[in-house]
Amino acid sequence: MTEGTVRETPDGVDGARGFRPAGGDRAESMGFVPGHVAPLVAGRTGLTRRAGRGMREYLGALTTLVILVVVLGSTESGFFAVGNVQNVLETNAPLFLVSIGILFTLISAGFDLSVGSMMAVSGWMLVIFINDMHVSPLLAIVLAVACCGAIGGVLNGISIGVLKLNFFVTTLGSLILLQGIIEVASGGVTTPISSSLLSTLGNGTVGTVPISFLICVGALIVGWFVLRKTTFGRAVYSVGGNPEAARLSGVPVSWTLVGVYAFSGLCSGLAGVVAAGRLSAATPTAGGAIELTSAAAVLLGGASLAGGVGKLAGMTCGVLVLAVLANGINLLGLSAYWQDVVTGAVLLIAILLDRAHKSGSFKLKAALRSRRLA
Amino acid sequence: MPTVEPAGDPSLVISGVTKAYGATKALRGVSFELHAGSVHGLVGVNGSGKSTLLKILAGAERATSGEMLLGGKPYRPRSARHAGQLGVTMVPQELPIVRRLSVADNVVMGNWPARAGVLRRAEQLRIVEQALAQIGADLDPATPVGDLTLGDQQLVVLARTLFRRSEVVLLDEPTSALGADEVRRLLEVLRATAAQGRTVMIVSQRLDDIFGLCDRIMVLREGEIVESADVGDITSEEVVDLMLYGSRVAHRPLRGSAVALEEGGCRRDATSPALVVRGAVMPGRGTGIDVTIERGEIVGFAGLPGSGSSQLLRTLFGLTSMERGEVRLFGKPYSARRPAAAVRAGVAYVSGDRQAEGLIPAVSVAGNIAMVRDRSVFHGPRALARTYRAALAQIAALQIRPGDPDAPISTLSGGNQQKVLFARWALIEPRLWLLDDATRGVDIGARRDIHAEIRRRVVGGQAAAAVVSSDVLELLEMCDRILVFRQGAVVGRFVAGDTTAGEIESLAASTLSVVS
Repeated sequence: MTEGTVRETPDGVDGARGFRPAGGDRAESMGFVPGHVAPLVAGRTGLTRRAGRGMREYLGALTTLVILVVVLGSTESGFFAVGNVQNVLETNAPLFLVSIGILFTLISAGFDLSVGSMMAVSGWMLVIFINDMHVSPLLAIVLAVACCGAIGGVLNGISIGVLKLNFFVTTLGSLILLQGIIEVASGGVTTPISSSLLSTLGNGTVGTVPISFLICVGALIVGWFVLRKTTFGRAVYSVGGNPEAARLSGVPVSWTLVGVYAFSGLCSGLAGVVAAGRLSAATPTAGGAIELTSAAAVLLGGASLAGGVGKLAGMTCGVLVLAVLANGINLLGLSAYWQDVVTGAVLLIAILLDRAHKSGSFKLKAALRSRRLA
Repeated sequence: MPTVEPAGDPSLVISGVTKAYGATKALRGVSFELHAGSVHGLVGVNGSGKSTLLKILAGAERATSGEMLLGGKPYRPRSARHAGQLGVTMVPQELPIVRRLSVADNVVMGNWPARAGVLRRAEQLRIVEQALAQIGADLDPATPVGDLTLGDQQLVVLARTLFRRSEVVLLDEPTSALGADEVRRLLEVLRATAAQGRTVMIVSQRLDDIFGLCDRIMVLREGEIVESADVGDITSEEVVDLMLYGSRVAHRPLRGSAVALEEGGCRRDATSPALVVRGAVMPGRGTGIDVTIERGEIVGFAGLPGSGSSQLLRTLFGLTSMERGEVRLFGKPYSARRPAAAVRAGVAYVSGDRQAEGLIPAVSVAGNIAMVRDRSVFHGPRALARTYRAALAQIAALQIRPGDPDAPISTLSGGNQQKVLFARWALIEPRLWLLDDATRGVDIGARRDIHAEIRRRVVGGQAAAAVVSSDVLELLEMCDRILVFRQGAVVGRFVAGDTTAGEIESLAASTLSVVS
């Protein structure tokens, strides 16, 4: 994973024969030679093609999102109102942040059920640091998020990556354990936190843009960079796509998984901070059933439980679909209970459509025709 | 590792390597030398110790005793990864690729060029294109590997060994799932790899490929090297005898299949064919396939992957659907929409992909055999006991080793596992056998047992068989007639005795449209 592994040559024999991996060939990499142009061209064509292919992964979520926005925008006058948009973005910021971490775990062919408890842990950390220890709010927030990352890395990551325990059982255990600890420590009651910085993070705006939304955008950019532009991201896709191949190729499978669950912990921790900021309080039930909502959003966005697949763009579409749906139900004046009904139905329909798309409508038609023949 | 080696110096020396699993000895003192710049072939029947030897060379297992030298230094790999770092890489049958990632990412997998963890794409592309060019692979680095053919995927893995500067490349059954063209190209690439001064060893059941590619052949039998010779000094007949009996002089019994073939020929009943397919069109390809199989007849379907031969079998078993066409089975209209319907009609389908499509890993040998006959959930204890006894009879008839019906299926060798699949279907006395490359990766001894059993079941005229195999020689040995498939159509029909492997292969691979 470090630079230079590529250049490693057995016993320092530098390309006396055969292929020279990296380095050397300075003339070629510096001069304007065909060898330098060709990759650029190939890279461009490859990039456009990949973008097209990538879109297909979450086309369903994107289409649904566009339809929802168009329909709600044209029927409900309040939909595009600044206040409403702000509300949607703020309410769903924790879900969005948690989903970034969930996406990482899904790509690595795992899942993190403990995100909701982790959010509560993060809030509780804030109570300890700010209320009890009187640490400066900024430092308290950094510490709370870092603690959640560490807990995720050690409790979930080490168990799954190094000890090879099953991710479902492990994170289910963490979910219950952490939730229990929080209930015990807090006595089950909500504790107010008085910090202007914290409530600004939860409810403040820059102009009309909610700060919690800016946090989401920041996290999205970091997540995209890590996933797409670093060897760690490449390792996450490899480990999820074919763990055996990754292992044989020298990818540090165990540590990649530790990193994935630590990252998920960080995301939940940040979500917990934003959630606490919105309420100016830490509540033991901060996470609710967010792991399931988040799973719905990320799977809607094209990720797969089988691992190796998933994109942040798809995840974003998935979260927005759920967010807009909830908002729409609210605007239409329906009972909030309808939200789950609609969410479940949308998820099922999305998966059905995805299945039809993958097996090809052509094949479906052929199957129907042969059935008539028979 | 030495920089330049004079041609002929051994790069990997194995001496007196043994491996014992408890009381059983898989390897009993194996010694040989691999030379840089040469291609070596290792052959042996299943259970001869090939896999064990490969695993030891590749670092996946450790030898019980013995010495290995790589480039003159002691070679003691701790793991497959460590072996790779030392310069020895194995390309297993199950290719170590991530299907979703691009060719470029797969070639340099685990060593993505990066600075402080941040990928350097331009550099990566340059490296990968160089590696691909060196093995003459014309692949777009941006393509996801999952979109490539198996042959191209193999080239990606070979490009990776090149990138890693592996001095020794070991390939396990590299040609078993490839068509003739892809095999030819792979062999060229391996030749080029060896010509760069690297050492190549392939393990294969396909003697044709071994002879077409290798400079030296080593025969492993019961954990010992019984022969090591230049290809020019040995014939494939001799190699077969060495694999089976350990000496070049054949004490061969009468060729069972040849005898049975004559029997089958005279008893055939041509009044009403077992299977008639008229104008079958698979989705998206072909102009209509006509096939007739008489009672008591074994007909081979030759063709490259994608030619439609295997697809026809899958269609007949209800695994895929037919766009148009009519099928009659023993005179009655037949159309299987699901495998369950095909089984009810007395059709058996044996796939060569036994891990994915055949065996239930956690179940015993007898349990695996009983599966089809006891498919109803309403079978009571008496029926189960009857099936168990029938399974015992099959274990004996097919000489499945070890003969313990309660042993977990995973403890059997590949060839014996494949026999279990045949036994499973034999229990329901099928009227039509569909064998889809069913002896892939099975050694010659087990293959002959299976051929004999199929022939015995078909001969009486109560059954028929359609056989797809990537090995044309197997078709010639086993079948009465051979149909050649290309692009979803039958382009040639032969009686097995009147044709040659070359004729069939060139017709299957030809781009001209020849209809005979």
